[in-house]
Amino acid sequence: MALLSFLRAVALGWAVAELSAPSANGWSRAANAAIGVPLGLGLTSFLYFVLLWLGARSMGVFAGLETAALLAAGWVLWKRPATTSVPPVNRFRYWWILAIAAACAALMGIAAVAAASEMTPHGDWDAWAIWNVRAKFLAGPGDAWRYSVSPALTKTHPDYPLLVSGAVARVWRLGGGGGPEAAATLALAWFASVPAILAAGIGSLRSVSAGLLAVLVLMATPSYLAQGPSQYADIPLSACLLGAALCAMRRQPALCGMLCACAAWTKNEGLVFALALLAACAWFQGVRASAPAWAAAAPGLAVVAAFKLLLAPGSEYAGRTPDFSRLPTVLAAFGRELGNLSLGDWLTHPFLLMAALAWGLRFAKDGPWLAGWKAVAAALGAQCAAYGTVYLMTPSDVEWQVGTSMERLVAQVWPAAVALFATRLNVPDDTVAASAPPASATVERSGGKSRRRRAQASS
Amino acid sequence: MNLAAAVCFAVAALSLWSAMNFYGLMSKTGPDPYQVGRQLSRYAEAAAQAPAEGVLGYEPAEQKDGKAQALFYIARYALAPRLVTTVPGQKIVLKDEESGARLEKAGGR
Repeated sequence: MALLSFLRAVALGWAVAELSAPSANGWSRAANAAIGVPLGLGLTSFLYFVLLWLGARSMGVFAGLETAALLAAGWVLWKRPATTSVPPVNRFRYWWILAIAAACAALMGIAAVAAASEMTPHGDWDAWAIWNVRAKFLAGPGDAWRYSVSPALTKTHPDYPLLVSGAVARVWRLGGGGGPEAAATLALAWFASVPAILAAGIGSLRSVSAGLLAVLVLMATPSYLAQGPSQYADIPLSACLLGAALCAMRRQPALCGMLCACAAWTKNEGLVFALALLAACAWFQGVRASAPAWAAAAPGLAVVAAFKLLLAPGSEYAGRTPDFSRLPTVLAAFGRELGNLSLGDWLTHPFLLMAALAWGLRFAKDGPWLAGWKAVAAALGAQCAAYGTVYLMTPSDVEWQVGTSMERLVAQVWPAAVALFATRLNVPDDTVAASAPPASATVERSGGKSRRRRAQASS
Repeated sequence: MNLAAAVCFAVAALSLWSAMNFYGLMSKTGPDPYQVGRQLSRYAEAAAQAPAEGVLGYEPAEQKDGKAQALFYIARYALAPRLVTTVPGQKIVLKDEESGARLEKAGGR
């Protein structure tokens, strides 16, 4: 039952992604499927919490509404008219070598995280002190869910949004059990979705080999991968940020808006990024073009706003002003953290790999993705500025604060930063001698019965 | 094969090397340093006796060090969906002592 409720959430996410951003080829379909993980878990977490707040307690109501939404989305997809298929760029003769390497690196990373999760099934400190204990409140009987925002939860941030706790509680309630396996499995799903979103998202935006190179850079970042088994909210947030960033660059505003709302429901940092990205999209892509993003984000942001204004206790940062004497400490810690991305192995440091790629492939000057790229770059810049400001304002000892959180903050934005880098890079397909002519467009029916009529397979 | 392709293959090789190192590092991960699974059994009896929901007070046995703080959060995790809090004035209190954890009505023993 727990597995079924997880799969229903992911299927719903995939269907919503397909409805709001119809896929044009196998890679964009894979991107929508991968985005379905954070989107589906986010949307069902929203639904679970809103129904709890409205007084619904019956599991039949939760499961029935989700199933009805899934069936409705599936029916619309089935009836949707045929879409024009545009094969992904794939002219790099040796792309399969990159594919094998990226798949092996990703599988090793996922296997390593799964093995570590078995050793720490309840996750790290914050998992049982914050996220999963709040999940137990949300899965509890009667009005126990209100303890998840109780001011008595001192030093454990009862003002934080509830996407992760809500997703875990939902699986516990619908699955009929409260064991640690569900939380660990969800953490692994969020983690595994990140390289998949990166490969398929960049693969459909630029080229297949560019997506694979982005995955290779990500999997050479052990400080990011090491967050996988923690069961904290930082990896889910990184998945939402990456998905939203790629959708902004792929000009899929509705999907971008929904992922922004999911980010805002995951952590306070996600709320900053969501507002920054939506504003940046309006600035760089135009108000009219970004209106669907705002419209798609609005319901989720309204829930987050209602949660913050009506339920959550006040933030510990309220009324504090920045202490700029802390700036050198914060900047030094940030520099140390970037230097430590490879956990001390300088030969495989991701910056070294990125520098090599920039040297070998050079950067692209223009493309249809450029306005979205600028918006994401501006949003990530605003996000880093917000991190710094929070450190300047923290009521805790700043040395302790940066020592216990900087690694996680960098992890939140790292996949989106890698996507930003990989998008701007010239694709190997144009730099290396091509081995096959571009494939021509084909017509393909989206939805349940896919009738492929590929004129020619890409190499 | 030109420079760009060579760079791509070098990046692939280094990434694989890094992923293998990470796998080796994580496969040496020791058991949970806080022994959460084992500590949960410490609170199992109290969880069985406690009302299905409500707020419970908490009295730690030890001084305020890292271990005592971990025990408090594990106790809260174990007894959820009841809310365990250090805020005084609760009718039922979880006494966390060296010999084990037990529930007590406030003022009584």
